[in-house]
Amino acid sequence: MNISFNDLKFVQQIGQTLNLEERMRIQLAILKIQEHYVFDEVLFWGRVEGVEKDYYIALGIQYKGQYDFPLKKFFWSSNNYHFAELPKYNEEFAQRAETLREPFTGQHEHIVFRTDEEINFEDSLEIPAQLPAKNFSELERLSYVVQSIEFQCASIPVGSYRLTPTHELIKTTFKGVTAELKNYQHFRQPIRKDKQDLIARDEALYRPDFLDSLVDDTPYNQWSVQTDSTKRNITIRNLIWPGYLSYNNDYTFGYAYFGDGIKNSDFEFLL
Amino acid sequence: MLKEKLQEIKDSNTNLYQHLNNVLTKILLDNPKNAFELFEDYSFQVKSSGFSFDKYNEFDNAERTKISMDQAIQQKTLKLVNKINLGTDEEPQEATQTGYLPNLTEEAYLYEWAGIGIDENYKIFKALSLLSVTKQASKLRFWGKIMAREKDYYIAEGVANSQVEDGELPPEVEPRGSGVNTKSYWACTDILNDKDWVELPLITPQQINVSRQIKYMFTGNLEADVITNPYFFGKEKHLLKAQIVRITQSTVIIPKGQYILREGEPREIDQTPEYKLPGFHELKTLNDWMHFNTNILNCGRLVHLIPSELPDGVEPDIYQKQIEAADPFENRLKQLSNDKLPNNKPAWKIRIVGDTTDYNPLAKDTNNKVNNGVIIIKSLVWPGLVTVYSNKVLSQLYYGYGFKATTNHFYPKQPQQVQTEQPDLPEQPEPNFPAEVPQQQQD
Repeated sequence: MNISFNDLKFVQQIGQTLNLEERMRIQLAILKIQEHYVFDEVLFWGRVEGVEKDYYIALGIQYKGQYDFPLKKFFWSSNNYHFAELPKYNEEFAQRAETLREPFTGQHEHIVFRTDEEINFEDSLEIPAQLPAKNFSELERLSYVVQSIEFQCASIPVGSYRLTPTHELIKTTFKGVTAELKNYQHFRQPIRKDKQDLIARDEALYRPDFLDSLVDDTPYNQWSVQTDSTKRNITIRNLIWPGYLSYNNDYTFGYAYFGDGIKNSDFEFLL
Repeated sequence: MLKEKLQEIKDSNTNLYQHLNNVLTKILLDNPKNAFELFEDYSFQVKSSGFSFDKYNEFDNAERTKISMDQAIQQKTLKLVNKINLGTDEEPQEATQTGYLPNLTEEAYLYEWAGIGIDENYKIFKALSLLSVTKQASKLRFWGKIMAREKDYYIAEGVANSQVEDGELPPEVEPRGSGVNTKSYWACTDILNDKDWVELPLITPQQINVSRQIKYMFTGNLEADVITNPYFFGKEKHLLKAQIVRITQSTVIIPKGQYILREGEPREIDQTPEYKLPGFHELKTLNDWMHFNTNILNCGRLVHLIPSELPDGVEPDIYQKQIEAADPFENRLKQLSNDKLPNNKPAWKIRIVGDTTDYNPLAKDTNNKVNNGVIIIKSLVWPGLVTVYSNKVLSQLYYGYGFKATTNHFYPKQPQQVQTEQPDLPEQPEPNFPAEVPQQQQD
């Protein structure tokens, strides 16, 4: 979502918004990121709510000079509105973090999983090349959740980006799409074989839908396409990560996450 | 000269001169910010779509149809925001009386501080005032929005007109106006259509108990069947009402001291006499708030049912005590700080946002300072429930999918085992007696 925050009215359809103080301070903080890093665009990605404090996430995208898909970099901040890079998460515990039901506490040092091993180096003759992993902190859980949501959910309307002959992604003039699921695609490097082949054969230059389509996502019912009462503002919500939405109308498009960072793992049972 | 040269470079449909004209016209029409980067793009698009610069007026047919579709919506929206007109256009009839309806537009400003955005709040407000007039409902308020798979429900809460007849109800169902059916709820998926508000039906204790065991995501269609195990006897509108009632009964909160227990009847509450809503500083912690409603008992009602025909030898009082011991009431007006989730974490979160400085009031004779801070209380048991308080305005809203927060993974209950049929007894051959020979009487 653009930091001018004109698009908040879409997010209001799921009942979330940013208040005056948040908007102002996030704008300032994002501009600060642009002083230190070089990105084509720095967008506000979303807000993950915790019990005591909330986390704000920003996303920097670099299109120029990237082959096949732009570079994305995430930044996080707590209530102090000071953005820092989102660190990598420990792969071992990451899978368990996906199905956690407890809300985030808001304190990023809070330990989510403990590693129970105690290694005593004095007695052993061999010291392992890598020190064992530290405890899995809430910041790593945040990092995992944000990157999961980005991979599983981030989507854009068809016709909003094109692939240039040098395989760079650029934004095109966007004229709006009708409110159907087939008009949306994932905003990530394609993982489906047919789209990868399309790009390899250079046919993606001529087609607006060269990224993975949302229609092929399993389970199929996880996307909900709705409009507001004017029928021009379309939001696509994900039901497995409640709080994620992609939006577009005839002038603009984007996506954001406003939620508590908990995956709805029972989704298959709810229908 | 240049023009002829360009016109010589031809394709089957057009020549280079035409093409350049078309591309430049399209760029001028669209006026993108990064035209230089998109130049090749435009060239490709113009080639594929056959855009022609001298016929560009005809090109926007697709745009035209979009506009004509909008007019129906425009008219409906205008009708909604105009003054309420119960008659026809020729004979306008003004609305005579509307019940109490809080000003949603002002409250939306408070909710924005809480991070809750009420989309189209003015339209919802007008739709509610129309509802208040057409259904003659008093004490209406916007309860919230329940998101569903295809369309969302806007829910209004109020007290319905007392003239509505329900017919015969089974004895365990609490009648309209008491127990779980005290307040009426209306649901609507399309706020532009004033006929769309449907009153949700009365619910039975059985439905409440089943709704406690299932987790279901609404579809957006009130008449849809709810297929779950254990089976929910009712349609989506019954389940919706059950969830709404559960949420309301357990999450309505008021400042401490606004109500007191009635003497002699600890289950009843009265408004504290001469009570004034406290200022900002008295309500900053969870200790300062308490629950307002009674909880729903395990049997699915608010009050135990004493059957009219008791077994012999049992006094009504003793029977009542027995039932109450088995299914006890919780204390009324209990404080929020004692509420805990199953894993012992707190069940509420309280935040203070906004400008919390104390300002001196304009009138010189009061000591009360003015504080514009907003106190937000969110429920962690029913995520989506928000209570806001600022400057003597207290308001509450629900925005969510209608689930309770679950700490364990949800496994639907297995259906009961269907007993296998007994194997058929082996068939015996029919006894085959030789045909009877009629004994002839010998003459």
